[in-house]
Amino acid sequence: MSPCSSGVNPAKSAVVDSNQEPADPLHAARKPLAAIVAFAELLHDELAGPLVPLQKEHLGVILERADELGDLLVGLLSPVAPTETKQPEWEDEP
Amino acid sequence: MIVTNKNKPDLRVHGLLELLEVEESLPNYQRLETVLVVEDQLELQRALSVRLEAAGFEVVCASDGLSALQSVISIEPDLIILDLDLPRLKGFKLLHRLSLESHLSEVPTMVLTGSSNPEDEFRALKWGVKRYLRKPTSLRKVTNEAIQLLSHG
Repeated sequence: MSPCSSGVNPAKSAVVDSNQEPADPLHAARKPLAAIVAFAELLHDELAGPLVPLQKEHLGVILERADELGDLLVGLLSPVAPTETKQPEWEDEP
Repeated sequence: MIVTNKNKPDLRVHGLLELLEVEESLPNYQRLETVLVVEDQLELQRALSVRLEAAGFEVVCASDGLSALQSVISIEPDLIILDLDLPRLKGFKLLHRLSLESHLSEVPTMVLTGSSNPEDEFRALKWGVKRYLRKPTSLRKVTNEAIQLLSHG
């Protein structure tokens, strides 16, 4: 069985090459935001240890604003829906 | 008989159960279901595994589609949480490969993706995916969906 990642490897975690424009900017933006939300939530829910109330309150603000940022990104970066989607040849749709 | 996650102490024996405040830990501590997390973003993989383990799941991870396929075959998980944009074997190809094996095609799958292509959700549901969540999403929501899926299908 494969162990889950026990740490963060910055080299493998880089999701955006700053010299290259991502093919899907919304997808590229969602990845780091997903990690921010996930770890803020783990801290907020005290899965990494107990917090004092003020710390919990501050993390609550981070989570709320991250949520707003997610909505904002969708509004700004959503692609126009494709008019036609080609099915890859390998794929037998069920 | 008290059944616990094999990696964790039995908190009832140690009298610590009442001290836990994390919602999922109390009712779900006896879970023995195995969840395969397929995610190439290692931070998110780690966060998901921490949250799911706190809810009492046994968690196995894969960082690419090919490793995921091998893990599904070897451990036959109770649930797969699947990113679509994966190295070596993309999420949809993995779903296709799983669909060819009758016993593996029955494993419930939840997609967790950063994809902004509206067609992907439609395709995923056609492939039998039970839940489709977009990043960023709350880990609580992912865990609750996993609990619901394994309880009610």
